[in-house]
Amino acid sequence: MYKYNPIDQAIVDARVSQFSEQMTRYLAGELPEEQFMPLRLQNGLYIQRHAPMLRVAIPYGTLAGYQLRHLAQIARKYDRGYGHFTTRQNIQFNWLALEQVPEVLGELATVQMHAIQTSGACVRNTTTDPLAGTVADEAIDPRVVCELIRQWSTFHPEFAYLPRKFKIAVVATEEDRAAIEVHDVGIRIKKHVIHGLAFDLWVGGGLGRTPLLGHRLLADLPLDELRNWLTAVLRVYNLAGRRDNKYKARIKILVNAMGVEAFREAVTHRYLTDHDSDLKISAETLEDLGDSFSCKLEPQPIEGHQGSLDFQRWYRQNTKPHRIMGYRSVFLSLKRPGTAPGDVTALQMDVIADLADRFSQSEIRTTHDQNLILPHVAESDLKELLQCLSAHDLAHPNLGLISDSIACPGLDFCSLANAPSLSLAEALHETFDDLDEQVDIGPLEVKISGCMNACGHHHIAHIGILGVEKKGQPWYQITLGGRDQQGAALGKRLGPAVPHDDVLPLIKRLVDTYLEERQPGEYFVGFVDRLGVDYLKEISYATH
Amino acid sequence: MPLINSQGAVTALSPPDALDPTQSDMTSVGDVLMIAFAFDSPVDGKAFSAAALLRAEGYGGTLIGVGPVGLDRLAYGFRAGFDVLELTDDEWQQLQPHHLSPFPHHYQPETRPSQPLKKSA
Repeated sequence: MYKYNPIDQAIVDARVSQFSEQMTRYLAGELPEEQFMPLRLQNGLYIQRHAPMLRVAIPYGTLAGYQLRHLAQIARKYDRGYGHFTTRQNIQFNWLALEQVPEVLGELATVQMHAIQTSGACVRNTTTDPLAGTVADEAIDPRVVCELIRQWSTFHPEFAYLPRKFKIAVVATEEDRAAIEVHDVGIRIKKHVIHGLAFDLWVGGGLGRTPLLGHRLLADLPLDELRNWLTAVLRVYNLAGRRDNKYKARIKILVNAMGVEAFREAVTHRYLTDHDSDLKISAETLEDLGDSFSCKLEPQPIEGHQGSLDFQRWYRQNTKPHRIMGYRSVFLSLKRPGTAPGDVTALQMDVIADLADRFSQSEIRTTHDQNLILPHVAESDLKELLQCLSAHDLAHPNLGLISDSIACPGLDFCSLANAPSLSLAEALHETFDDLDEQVDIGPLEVKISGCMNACGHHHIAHIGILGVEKKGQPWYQITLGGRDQQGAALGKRLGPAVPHDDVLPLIKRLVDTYLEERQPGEYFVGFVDRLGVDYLKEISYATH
Repeated sequence: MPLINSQGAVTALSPPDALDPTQSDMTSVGDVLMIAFAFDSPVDGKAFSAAALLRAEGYGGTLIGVGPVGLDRLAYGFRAGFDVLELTDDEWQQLQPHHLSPFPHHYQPETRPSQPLKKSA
């Protein structure tokens, strides 16, 4: 995987010094809160309900074993012994002391990590396919492009104070495992007869209060011009985006206000007028970065899988094919009963780091579904790996099933939330506690957000749950039929909000109806498409 | 915000709001000696792009940023193409060399005028 060069390291070290000085000025009363807030946010530091929260960047969701081991040390030394993996492939620490944050950043820098631009109105961590480099049909490892975007966007003098946050996702396969249509900018890289490598540019997607799918603004652009096109998009947004109302400030609002055609014309004009040859990406750069991400694996004989029923269930549910014969990508579900989605203890981090070193080329991936992956495991090692994972509650075989729900921290931690999220995630485990039943139900994505900001991505869930406040009490709106892959769609509201304790009975009625009325081979989301939300509303609220 | 041209006249333009991202702007400011852009708040960064856009199009006059720029945004401002940025008296007292250049390297190309301003005779 990519290793810092001296320039990368010098910049991250300088950032630690810069933020330490900013914190010193703030604590000394020399820097007003209104000026400190954007500075701390651009370093991922929030003031939350109970304590400061630090969001640490995991660029494009790729971690090395030694980095995860150091995150475990930070969890023990500065936090309460755990960390929380987020829906944007980062990790958060929820219980830091404000004055210790510069010290934590210093420690992170020793292992090529940082919190740069993990929040604030700037270009955030670029996310991508968590299976990058392991699948056979990639045009290029998308992390190569993500790293180029990371460098280009880090401390960009024009784009550090945008109207609002700006999120970019990149894929390089037909299958979209990064939800590019619900990002401010989505990039799909593909092979191209003329350009060699080209990309389609999606703009104006996003969730939050105004969920919208992005528009495919331009197609078949040569990949070597990516940074010039991104500059053009950002420049139009920075000059024309609204700043008078934070809820109207995302690029999706601008694109809709201008109209897609006018926005396309503006971006094209800026591209043609301001083109900078220094931003062109050379073939040599792509090749060098490609080498830094490539993983040299020798094909292995394929093992038989005659193990126990537990092994077979885990193999089927939690491992995926690898482009190299004899290897699998192994998913570690972070959705176990009794644990908040995405939470991992320091001990588990150490174990995962050790297992990555032993079995997966020292590499770990984070997913936007708040799970982890050991991406390169030889099939011959799978049984031993399962034993080790099981001993540390990391082998729960529920990937993609109804209990593999994602949830924001909700009212338990977040100062923006209206309602708890984590208790509903736990209630899913209790209501659907039979793994055989979950397998029978099949693929079903439940996503839970504690407020309209939609950090739990409920709009793109098969069953979305949104916490709202009614007369001081938490209630929940249910949406159905959302999805984030090809043919992405936003969920439709099922009906009136229900109180906390009615949410799971309602979902149970929906699922029972699905089990009774589904057609052969029909998944839940197809069932919703076929029967429609109005029909399901009658059933869901029948006994409510 | 007034714009002063080479004859000392003040134009009616008020960038960056007057900058239309769909249009080339050099036609309106090409012979202006000095342009001042206002930062409306400590989080307003529109003027960074306004300055960079003018530099990208070859504007060689003086760019001034006024308003709550802040010590921690000076480096962004100068790299975006500003020549002069406003500070408060307190900020002036706190100013250290690292505020002007906090990083030893940058990932982005420098934004500087590609051609000097042609002064009117």
